[in-house]
Amino acid sequence: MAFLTDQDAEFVRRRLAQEMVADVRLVFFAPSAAGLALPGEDFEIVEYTRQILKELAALSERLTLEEHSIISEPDLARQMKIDRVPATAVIGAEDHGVRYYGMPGGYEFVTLLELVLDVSKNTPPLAPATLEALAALPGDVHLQVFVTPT
Amino acid sequence: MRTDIVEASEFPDLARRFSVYAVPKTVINDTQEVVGAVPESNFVEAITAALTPPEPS
Repeated sequence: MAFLTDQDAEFVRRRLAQEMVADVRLVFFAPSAAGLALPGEDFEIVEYTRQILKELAALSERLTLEEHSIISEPDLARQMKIDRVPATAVIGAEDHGVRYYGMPGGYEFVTLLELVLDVSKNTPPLAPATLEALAALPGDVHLQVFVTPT
Repeated sequence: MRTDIVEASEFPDLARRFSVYAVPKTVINDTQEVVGAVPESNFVEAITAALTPPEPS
């Protein structure tokens, strides 16, 4: 069964067409290659995540979906600073370091959609004073934003 | 800057570690936290605090 209804898919397709500027890659890391489950792995969550990303990527030619395995490609995962799965890196003209851990279902699909659009536009939706303060920070920042799909 | 969006129920170890009882909750450099949707200036304050070494006691 599709995750997006026809009506939702049409809405998303229109927003992507109107707002995307640069191409965006959805770089998805699963535990293992498609169709294989490891003991203890939450197979359903990985499958649903894969399905959601596939449906989203199909709605714009500017969006591509890549799939990797954290087990068979540990160097790539480390390089992308991905340490748990399922994980999705959303990368446009630049990698802004944003990773989505878990399934972007329910209301969190909107988080993923807005993230794709922001990354594609490559202009942060922040106030000038905020950008100035962030540019002056003396060190690295790691944000962990906890969310739930309901 | 690195940003991880974490689905709390799928990563209970992280949710427990950072005492996530309400969402959205943002943890900054493992030390500062912001709960709820707050104005940008509050985020900037918390980020700045996370990068400021504590006063020697």
